[in-house]
Amino acid sequence: MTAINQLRAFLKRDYLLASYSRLAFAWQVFTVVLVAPTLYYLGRLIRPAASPHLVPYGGDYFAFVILGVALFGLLAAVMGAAAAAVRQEQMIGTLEVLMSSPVSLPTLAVGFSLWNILLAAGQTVLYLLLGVVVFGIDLARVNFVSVAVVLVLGMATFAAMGIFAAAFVLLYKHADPITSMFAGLSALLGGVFYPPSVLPPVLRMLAEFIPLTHALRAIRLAVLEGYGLGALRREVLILLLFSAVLLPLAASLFRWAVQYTKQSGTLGAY
Amino acid sequence: MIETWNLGKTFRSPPWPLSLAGRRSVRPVRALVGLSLRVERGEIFGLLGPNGAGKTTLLKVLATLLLPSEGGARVQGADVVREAAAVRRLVALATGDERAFYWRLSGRENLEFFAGLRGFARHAARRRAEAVLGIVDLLHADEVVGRYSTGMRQRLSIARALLADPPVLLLDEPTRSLDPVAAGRVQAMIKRLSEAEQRTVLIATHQLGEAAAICHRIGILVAGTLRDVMAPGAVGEVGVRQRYHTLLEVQDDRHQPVAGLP
Repeated sequence: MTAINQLRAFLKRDYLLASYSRLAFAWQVFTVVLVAPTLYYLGRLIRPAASPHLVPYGGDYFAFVILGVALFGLLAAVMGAAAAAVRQEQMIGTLEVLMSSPVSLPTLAVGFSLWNILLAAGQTVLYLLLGVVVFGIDLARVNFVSVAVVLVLGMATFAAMGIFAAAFVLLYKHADPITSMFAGLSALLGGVFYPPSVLPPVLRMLAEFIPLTHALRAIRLAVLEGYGLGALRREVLILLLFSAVLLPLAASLFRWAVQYTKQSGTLGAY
Repeated sequence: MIETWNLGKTFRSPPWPLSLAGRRSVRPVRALVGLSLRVERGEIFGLLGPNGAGKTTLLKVLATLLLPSEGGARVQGADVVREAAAVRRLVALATGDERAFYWRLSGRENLEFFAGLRGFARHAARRRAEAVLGIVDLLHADEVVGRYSTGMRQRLSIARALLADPPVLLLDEPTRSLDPVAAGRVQAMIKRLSEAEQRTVLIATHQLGEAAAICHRIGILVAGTLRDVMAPGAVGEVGVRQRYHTLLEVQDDRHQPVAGLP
């Protein structure tokens, strides 16, 4: 119950702070409204017959890319939220006060990220709504169980990367390079705008080590082709492995970073 | 109750690659040296000392924001290192740092947020914020903190410390930057909090008059070492002042390189 009250407090605080910059919120909505039709008209250039790479996903480029952009936005937010929040608290000067409160580190990490993740989730839903209502994507075959499982595993993996990044910020008092590097690499290799199958063999092999590749492939197949968990077991197992390895490592590093800053007296420094 | 034994804190240069974050090499600084102290329940204990004496460092160790290098400390029997989570429920630190609030939120909104972090549900947080605002007598609680005066932020900081009704209060220069009237009010409030509710209060200050006026005992901290502990009730403000100035004349070796440390 305490953790729920603490998370609710974080949410309310971030809502109040965000309400001071309604323009930023409007800009987020505007971005979606602008990007979705751009992708749609781009998709009209590409026909299934001309793109065998799209056939496994039903052949519609617009459906392919809007899912990629929407999910990538969500996962990037999951990854970047904690590090950005730690940096902001350092700069404002509130990090020490938060750390002296009886809030556990996992609750703190979630509390830091929750608002931004909810915003990104709203953006994802808006992309899909526009895709379905305005541009006519067919979502009749969605397998919701597969989507839910892949989303949870994908978010866990990206949250782990985010916790690594937050530890970096704690230690180095610097905007982290991890999330932008990882996001850039993921966008290039992970199949946001094109299937990784179009990449040359070396990059295709590298793409297999990027969690986004598996998350996007699984989500697209679950949403557009209705694949069940059995058919997606390879992707699901890989994501499970990523999250099972990365999450404990990231949590340990974050704990160590907190202890180190308490030892060196740099917790409140910026 | 607060107890420390042989407590030491030394700040050292970070090892590579963490040293990439800041200046290449910083000489070790001993902020606390062999500090043993016991503050009883209901007592107001003043830590008196010049800037850089180690007062804030001690408060931060007790608030679990710093790890001691040697020795240890307990708050209400809970160890500040091994039982840090329990300690955080028992103590509240009011810092003199004006930046430690969300300046775009009102004082009330800040308090409701921090009450939430202390586990209060929505309505309870609102009631608690209202209650502590009354205790510190803070007007304009619905103004954004960015428009507050220094004194108002100081009161807000104490109000935040009182949110969870902690048995131990750590106050870092609670009357810094306040005019004499406002400082007197805050001092009276601290006395009231200690006497009426048997809270243990540890105050760091470099204002001798303040320490003599409200503390049951005063510890004089020089260069991280507790040089003397006295009761102003017994020696009077003049006695405290004489002893303090005598001790300050002792060579401050805090800024000398520490022998034997890398």
